[in-house]
Amino acid sequence: MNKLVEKARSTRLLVIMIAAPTLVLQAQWLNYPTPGLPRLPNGQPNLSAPAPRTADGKLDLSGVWNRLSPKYRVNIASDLKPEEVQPWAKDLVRERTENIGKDSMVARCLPLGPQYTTDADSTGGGMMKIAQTPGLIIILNPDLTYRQVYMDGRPLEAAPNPSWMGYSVGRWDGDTLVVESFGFNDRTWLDTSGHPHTEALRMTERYRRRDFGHMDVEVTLQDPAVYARSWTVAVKAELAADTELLEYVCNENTRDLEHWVGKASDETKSEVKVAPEILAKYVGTYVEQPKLWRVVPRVVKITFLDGVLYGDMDGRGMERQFARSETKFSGFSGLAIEFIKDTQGAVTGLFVKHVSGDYRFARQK
Amino acid sequence: MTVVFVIFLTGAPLAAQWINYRVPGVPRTADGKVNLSAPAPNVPDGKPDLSGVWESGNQYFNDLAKDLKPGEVVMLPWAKNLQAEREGRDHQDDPMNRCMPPGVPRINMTTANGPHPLKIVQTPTLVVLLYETSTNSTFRQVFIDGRTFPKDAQPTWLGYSIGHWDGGALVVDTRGFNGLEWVDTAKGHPQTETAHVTERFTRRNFGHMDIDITIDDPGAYEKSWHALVPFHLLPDTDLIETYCENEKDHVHKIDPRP
Repeated sequence: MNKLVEKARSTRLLVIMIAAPTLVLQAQWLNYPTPGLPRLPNGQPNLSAPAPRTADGKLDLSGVWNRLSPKYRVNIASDLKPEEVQPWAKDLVRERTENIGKDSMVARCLPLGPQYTTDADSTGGGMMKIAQTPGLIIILNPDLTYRQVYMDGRPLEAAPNPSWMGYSVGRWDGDTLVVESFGFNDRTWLDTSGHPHTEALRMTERYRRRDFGHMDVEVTLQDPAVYARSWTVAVKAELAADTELLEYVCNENTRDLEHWVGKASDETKSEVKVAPEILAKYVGTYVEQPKLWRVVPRVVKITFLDGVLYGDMDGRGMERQFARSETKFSGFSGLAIEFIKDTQGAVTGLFVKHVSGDYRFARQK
Repeated sequence: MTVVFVIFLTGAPLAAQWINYRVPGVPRTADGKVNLSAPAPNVPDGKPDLSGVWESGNQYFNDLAKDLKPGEVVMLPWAKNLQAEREGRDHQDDPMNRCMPPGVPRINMTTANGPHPLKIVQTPTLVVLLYETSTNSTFRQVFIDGRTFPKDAQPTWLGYSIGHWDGGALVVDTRGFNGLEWVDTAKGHPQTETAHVTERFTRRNFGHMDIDITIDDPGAYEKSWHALVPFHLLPDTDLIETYCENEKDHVHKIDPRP
């Protein structure tokens, strides 16, 4: 599963680039039983056991977590009205999307900054480890970046020097950890589509561990120079039991950047014509079998609107599918889809095709 | 020492905030300064508390063996040749020039136009070492939950670290290196995949700590060797963020001075 974790970070982007990283590595401690984890009689982690507490009675958020936020990872502003985003920012998003993200932090091996909080699609890529002490909470990322959240009562400074990771202070509001951050530079993107922010960005995260295996995170963003109002997006986190972070050194894989060429609109150039009555037969809900690694399997929904076929995985948003043949399509977050038919020609499922292999989804009856 | 100036032009550190923040809960003298000769603190369970921001003694980053006598570091012939070549080329081939992480133990001693300290964050089961480094801000995890080394570990730059308390010392054992690490910078002592590095952290008093480093690497050395590196606490300050941006420019890095 972990081979997918870092790859998945890039899956929105071009497959050419993603193919290079050495992420198929299988490290150890990826299957080491997490000490102190409550377990069921069969030895499996009891993820609905009560959330643990520290010696001083605070909720203990420590552990390895997988964040899940497929919708906001792709489009942080998906709940805003178009007029609530500055026109220059919308133009920039269009340009960055058309350039298939080649100037993104991921492509350039730079920190994601505020985007770490919502960088969490359903394939993986949103792993983090929290280490909690009374005066300081550390958030560790597989790409070897980290955040320090000061719990010693210090306030944020009024005019900090801009940084990639920002400055964070936290406090407990009952059982909710409230983290406020400020002092980001303006070079990072808020999502994989490229929504920008300025140095005035303020981010508030509210972490609430519901039980041992589940945590809700609300992220409120405020940047009046770009967005007309502050808004809040939801991120879920699932405890990644019995595993560990695996070292990922992005700069080992940057030599192929010159091959990151092309435009998003190139997809249309080699599109083939497929009869509408064939496309209409693909409409349906497809569930991954076997599921990849999460508690819940991934789901692909195929819709057909006004002569156009769309695919949506786990609420990332409807993405136009470009026919490569009668059964093969591209345009799915940098991946491909191939529909599976039985001997009678009925559509029974699909493959999501990724550099790491084909993932089978069965059509729901 | 020309070498230090040749590299690491890229990791321009942004000045962080809180670099002059008065840290609560530390012993102070009458004038308000942190009392660096106060006794070393303990955590509630009685173990030593290593928490703090620490800066290494000078020049160990360039030559970890600088205090050792001839004959204490005996390289195998291939390693000796490689070391001489690296030194002769003013460490132009240093992986840190390509924004790679410094390996272990080198990462503890990182300096470049000034020190790049480390910060120790301690929990009962995990010690996190946060690093500024002169290339990228980075961390190591030291598991002190009793686990043993993984078998057939995927090689990494920073290895896999497990620790245990031995009286007043935290003993950290690390294996699973990729063999691309350099032990130090100006000398370029080699390190191989067979390396077993032991770091013995002893906090002598509030403001001073030693890391006794043992390098047992039969792939490069005839016998294990060790270096005692002193560290001092940097009071009322914190790490500064550093990220390496111009990896592709390293070929243009030359010593600008005559």
